[in-house]
Amino acid sequence: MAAPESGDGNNGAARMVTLISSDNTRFEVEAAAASLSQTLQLTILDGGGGGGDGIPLPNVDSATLSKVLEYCIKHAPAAANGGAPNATAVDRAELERFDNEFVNIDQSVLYSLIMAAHNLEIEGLQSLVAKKVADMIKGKSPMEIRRTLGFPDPTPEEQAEMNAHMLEYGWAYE
Amino acid sequence: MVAPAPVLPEELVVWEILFRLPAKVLLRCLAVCRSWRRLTSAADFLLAHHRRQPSLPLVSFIGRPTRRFGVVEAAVDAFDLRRSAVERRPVLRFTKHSDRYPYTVLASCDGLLLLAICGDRFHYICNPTTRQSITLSSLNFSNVLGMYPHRSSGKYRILYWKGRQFGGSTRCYVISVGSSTAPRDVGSYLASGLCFVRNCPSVLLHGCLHWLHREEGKVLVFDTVGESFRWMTAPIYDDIWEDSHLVQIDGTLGISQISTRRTAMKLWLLQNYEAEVWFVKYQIEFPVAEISIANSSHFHGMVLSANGDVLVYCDQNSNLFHCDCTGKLLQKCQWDDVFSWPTRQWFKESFVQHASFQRKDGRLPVRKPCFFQGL
Repeated sequence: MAAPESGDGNNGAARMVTLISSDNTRFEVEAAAASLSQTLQLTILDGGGGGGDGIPLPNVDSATLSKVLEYCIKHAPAAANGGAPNATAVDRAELERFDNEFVNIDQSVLYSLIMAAHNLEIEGLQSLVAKKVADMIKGKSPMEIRRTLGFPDPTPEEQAEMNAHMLEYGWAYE
Repeated sequence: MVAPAPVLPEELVVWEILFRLPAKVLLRCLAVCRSWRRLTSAADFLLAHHRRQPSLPLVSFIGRPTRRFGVVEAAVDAFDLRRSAVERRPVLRFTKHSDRYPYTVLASCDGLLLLAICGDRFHYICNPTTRQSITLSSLNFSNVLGMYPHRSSGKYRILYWKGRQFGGSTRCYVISVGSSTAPRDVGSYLASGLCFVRNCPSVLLHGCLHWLHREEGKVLVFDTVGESFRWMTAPIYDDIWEDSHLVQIDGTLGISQISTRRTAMKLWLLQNYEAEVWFVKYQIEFPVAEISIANSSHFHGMVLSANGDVLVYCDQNSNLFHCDCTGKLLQKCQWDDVFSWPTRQWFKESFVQHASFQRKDGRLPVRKPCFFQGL
């Protein structure tokens, strides 16, 4: 996906913008895809990111940015439709299948995506990665959640508070 | 030995993950650590969490009694139809429901439900998300019209009427939940019209409650600030449409209706609230091969979202159908030996704390009310 720099992004086809990752890799994508990011949208609307300029993203490395853009490219057409009336059930099912496949990744990659989606404010991706974490902790006890998320074991005092909370809201653990 | 998992910054965990969790999963997470509990019990988090929850239609289920006056299980679930497989979120569960003593979800507002149990004899306000509830004895034998928040006091208010259906003695009252002051009489003006909006849930928008008055062909409006009634125009529709009711679609007032031949639905939207200008947003033709409600004695349909997807109920085989705006059947839900029907109320989970629910000793009541028994 890392495209070579191209100077002619406005040849009548879709407008292209260049994004530059923290490790200085340049990515050329359609403006419509990059605009799924609320953070980038204004810059792109102002005409930024075209030609040789590029928009630097100092918080996102190339591996993560490549993954983020894969999401944006897939979701851009549906977002352009307002996601609504023209989206058939087949399209929706296809996107759902893509999404499920997309977050089938290592926890460290997932965490990088969470941070990138947060920094770039890509609402759909934010929901998707949060849902993945929710699935990871679904049905687990608080102790198992701590281990899944890499927390140290609780102190006896914390353990007592955990037990008290579980006793008070017993129904949430059924 | 497993490599230690990477750790996300706490603020990010709270606002990117916990914030997006459904209520029950969030509650489980609160036991995980002290700082999560502290950060998620802040008022701004609770309100933001509530605002981002989806508003879901409530569907009621009652088991078919095996003998007369049989005691059966009953349930009210929120239906999440946004994914390709419907997700049912339990909201209310009755373990011993008798069909002689029906329950009704009278109103829904900010994650709170107003329930009538045993006809109109007992009234409760409950928060299914936190499993809190209080009884409202002052509402017994009255006809609830709606519930709404009163912004300056932070309390919830209930509008209801009492009196004979026909004749001059019908009057409307407002009570404030959790307040000991007597019900306030807000007059009899238009009160006779209110009899007709019974069993017709109100839509709260722009600080006003709205009901569709089918006989008048108008929308009845109660201004919750000025505590006064007025009429609004409804779209002029011919009599080939039925099952008309008000809906709220992304902050816009709408009317959902079924054609008399029962082969199509229409969604009207109020384009301009002040000028009272309506337009037809969608007309959705049912896939009649799959949805045949022509011979049903009980049926209704409701438009679910701005995308124009609809939920149609018909009593034959107790089916619920979910279609998209092109009339394509997305899902069909059918349950054996269970009656099910959409309540026309919507529910949005909320952890926001309300003073009315707080017991003096700070503990939850020991005995569960009947509508939480099976949860």
